[in-house]
Amino acid sequence: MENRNKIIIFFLLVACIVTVRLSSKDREITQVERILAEGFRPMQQSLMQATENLILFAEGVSNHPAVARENELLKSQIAQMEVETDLEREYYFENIRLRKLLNMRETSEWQVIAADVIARGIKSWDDTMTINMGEDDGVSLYDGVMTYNGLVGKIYQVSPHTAEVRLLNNRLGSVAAMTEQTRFPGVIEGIGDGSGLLQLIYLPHDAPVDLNQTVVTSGLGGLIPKEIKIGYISSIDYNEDGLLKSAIVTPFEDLDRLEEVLVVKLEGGVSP
Amino acid sequence: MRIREWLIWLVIIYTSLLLESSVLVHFTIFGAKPDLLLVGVVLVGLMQGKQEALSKGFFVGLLEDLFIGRFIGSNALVKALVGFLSGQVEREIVKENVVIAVSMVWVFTIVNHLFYGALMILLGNANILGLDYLRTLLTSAFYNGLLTIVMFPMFYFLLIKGTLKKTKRL
Repeated sequence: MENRNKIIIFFLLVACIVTVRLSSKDREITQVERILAEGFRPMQQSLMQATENLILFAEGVSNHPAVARENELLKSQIAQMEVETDLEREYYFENIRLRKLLNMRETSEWQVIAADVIARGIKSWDDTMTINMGEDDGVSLYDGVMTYNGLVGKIYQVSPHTAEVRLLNNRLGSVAAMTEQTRFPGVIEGIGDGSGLLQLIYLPHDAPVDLNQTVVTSGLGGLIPKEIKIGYISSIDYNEDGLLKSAIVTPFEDLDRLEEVLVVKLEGGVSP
Repeated sequence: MRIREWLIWLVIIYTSLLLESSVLVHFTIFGAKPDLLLVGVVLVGLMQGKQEALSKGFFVGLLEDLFIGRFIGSNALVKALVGFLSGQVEREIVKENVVIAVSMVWVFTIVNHLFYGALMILLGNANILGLDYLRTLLTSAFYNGLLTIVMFPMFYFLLIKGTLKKTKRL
């Protein structure tokens, strides 16, 4: 009996080590994981929404006087924007007419899918989130994920109705990027110190990279569209050997407070 | 009886993962996220001993791994080990004392992080630990300790008096 237990424990130990190794890379999810993801989705969506509403309510109560002032300001801004919108509407219709005149085809290189965040990674090292759109909605592995402020991550697992997003500050992922002004290419990844900052790594010491330059996606790899904003360079670290440096990048989006995102993909992008 | 017991554990695991991924992610302390299942496994060890905690730790950890979808088997292994170790002190402590439970959860959260870190280093995945590893380790321990105050009465009722009470099996 004692020996049998020892054999079982040894077998489980070896099995665990093998499965840890096998599941340490990006892969297609198994049927069991697919069922688990689908089983959690409806409740996760409702609970996430309820918690966000509760936090908003609590913040609203605590910030009431400031909110009232902001409300007045916004009302006047809305009135001004309504005038501008009317003007823009005129331009829009004029644009359509001119396009027709030039016989131009309405083209867009990007395909965009709107999604809600329904869960976040449960481990401290796990800077990931779950969205409520999956492969049935057109989401594929390695698609980019962004908000109107810029890129926030990329898809690393897809199930029929949900997808897992690895955020930019995750230690396990990286994205091809470049500086917007000087077009200098590099790889951006999370620093991994819990600050939420990113770093543009492997830059030669004389690379034309400077403070406050904007970092955008470079489009290399053909999966994430080019020119999506990521963040700005907030400091530069030189390696001890003096040959390389890395630029610390502050992302434009607060990666801890994402609620709605857009999945972006290139029309006819290269498959991994 | 056994089936009902495992079904209750499934409900506990489902609820914990749901709360961790959708509610508690909004309430992190210096980036540290709570681990309700680890608290549960340690409480099983303290109240029911090493064998129960070993099996529950493995089961709970495995489902958690499948939920995360990465490094499958790591939490199963580490939580089983932590459960086994926490069960070693079962006979030495006063089970009704919540302060002892909080201290033990604090200690075993640190043990859990150290084992997990060691496993990741051994298997070549040290990069996930990050530069804030030590800070996360301590804040997680503090956070789990706080949650123990809330979870203790429920687990005490379930494991000592209720449906999950340990029964002698032949």
